[in-house]
Amino acid sequence: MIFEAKDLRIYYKTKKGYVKAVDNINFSVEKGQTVGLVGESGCGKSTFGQGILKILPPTTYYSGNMRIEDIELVGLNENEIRKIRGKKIGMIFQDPMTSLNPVMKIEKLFFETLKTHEPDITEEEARERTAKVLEKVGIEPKRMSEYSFQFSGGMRQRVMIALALVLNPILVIADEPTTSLDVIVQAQIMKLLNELRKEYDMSMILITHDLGVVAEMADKICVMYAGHIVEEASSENLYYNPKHPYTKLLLKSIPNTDINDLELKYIPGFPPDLSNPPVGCRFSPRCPFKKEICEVKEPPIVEVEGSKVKCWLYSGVEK
Amino acid sequence: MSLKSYIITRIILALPMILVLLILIFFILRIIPGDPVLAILGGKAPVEVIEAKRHELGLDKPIIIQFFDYLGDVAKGDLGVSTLTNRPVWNEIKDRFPATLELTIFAFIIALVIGIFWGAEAAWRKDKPLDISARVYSIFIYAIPVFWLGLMLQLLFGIYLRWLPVGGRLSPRVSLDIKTGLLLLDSLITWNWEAFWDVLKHLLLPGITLGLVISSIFLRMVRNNTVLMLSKDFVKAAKARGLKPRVILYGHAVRNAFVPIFTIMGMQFALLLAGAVLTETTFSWPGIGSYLVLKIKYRDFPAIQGAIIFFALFVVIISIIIDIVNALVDPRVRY
Repeated sequence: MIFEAKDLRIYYKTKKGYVKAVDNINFSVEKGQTVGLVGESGCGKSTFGQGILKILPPTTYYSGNMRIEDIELVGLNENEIRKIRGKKIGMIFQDPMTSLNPVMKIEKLFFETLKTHEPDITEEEARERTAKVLEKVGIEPKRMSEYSFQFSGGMRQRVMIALALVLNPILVIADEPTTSLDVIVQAQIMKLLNELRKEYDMSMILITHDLGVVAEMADKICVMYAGHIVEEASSENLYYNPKHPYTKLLLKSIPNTDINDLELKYIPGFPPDLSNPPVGCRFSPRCPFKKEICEVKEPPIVEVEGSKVKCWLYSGVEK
Repeated sequence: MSLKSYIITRIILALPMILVLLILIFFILRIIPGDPVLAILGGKAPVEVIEAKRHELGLDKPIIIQFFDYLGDVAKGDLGVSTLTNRPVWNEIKDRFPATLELTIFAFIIALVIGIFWGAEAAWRKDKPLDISARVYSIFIYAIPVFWLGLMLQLLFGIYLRWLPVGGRLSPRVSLDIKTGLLLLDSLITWNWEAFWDVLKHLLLPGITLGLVISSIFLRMVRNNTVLMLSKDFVKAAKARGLKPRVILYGHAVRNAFVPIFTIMGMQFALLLAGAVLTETTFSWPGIGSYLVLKIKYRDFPAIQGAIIFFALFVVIISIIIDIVNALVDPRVRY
């Protein structure tokens, strides 16, 4: 087990009270695994991703456990967690256009990152390692003396990936790494990420709302809704045998290119306000299959045909 | 566009501005009440003497002729002769300019130090006491008239505590070889420590007064821009790479915050000179600012015109320098 979260809660403190963005989730990543995390916007995916590195606002409340290898993350102070960031866990952000400092040369970003975690590193060594990792992501090493605005969107995301990999982390969190890129570049970047994950022997958490993307890459997929993980299954199971009503509706709403069926399908309603989530099952207000109990009591997680589902529809069913 | 052609363009563009300024100041001076001849000779002088002086200064010619005469002289680089002292205006300005330069540089450094460090730390601790005090400070200082602040500092440090002199640049008993006119620099290069201390003591009060006034605007700009930058994605990304808080704050946020600040700073510099006029008068600092006030009192037309053109040129040159520094800080301007 590379990474594990147990009974993890991440709440934002606001004037109205706590926003329960991540509420009591269990999650794990095995060595070499790619775990997909999918769901609508506002379901707590990115909060979870950034919460692992604790780069959320300083007033954020954490409880439960998070372990990377055998280091417990929840109790760490800022100085201790800083040594984990970048070094053990690399992060790739959504928007490469804004995630690179525009007034700094690319090489400076690499050097300062290396220097922070390996204070004894020499200039030459840093240059060498930067060149090597840039080559791996398909950027000519001589371009390291350029500025980020001289690169295209796809190239910038390659730089971001290289920057996440330069310290050889054991886990990479990719937070919607291709959302802001065009389709062709998306495919290239995903292919690259997958190859590099194997080559560097890392594990990966892939956060996305693009179900097509995760299907190809992930070994396991967790579906998040309103701060809960509502279904956890292998990619195959999730696609061919989805259990949770939310997963089913999510899969149905993938747009297709069939000329006879161009109507966009969607799930009516919105994810709930997480400072005051619905009692019982959080999906119940939007669920077409809801029963009486759904609006009263939170469903337990049950295992059905190899998938873990948090839904009352299955709680009576034998394994 | 290369830097060289950019600078040349900027200077050429400054010429029409200076011409308009010259026209305005020339005619306004002659419209407002007050007569240079009476100011020099006093109201009781006989009419013949007054007429003779008027003729001597060329003030009996039609205004339009006077204007083109003056314009022709300025084009040749001749700013005329002071009606009060009979010395060439250019020489007078040249003698007094180093004092203003020294004061503004000193004040600017004080403002930079206060603005950058307090502003950055306040942004880092947004809504905490250090930030709130920074906001209160900048509003408070901004609201205070410069000369009042100067008077209060004079009263406290000069009169009650008797730590610092309240005016001038150098005590009469101290001797100093003047080379550059920047007395702090002169005393340093001649290893004259006694003079150095004396100059520094004289510089402190006016420098701090002017420095505090500029620091209020500067602090606000640095603080607000840094707060904005700290919310940017690249700061979050830097944090996710495990960089130290100091590196994130000064290396990433403040550095980027300076890009918009530089573009405003050129305009702020004009304000700085206005502040310098008041500060110099309060501390009897022998610079261009107090020179201008003195000359206005005596309706010394050529001197006033000269000083104003000089100020305008100074602002243009400084804003060009600031643009160059900006290009060094922000590579996007360069490419």
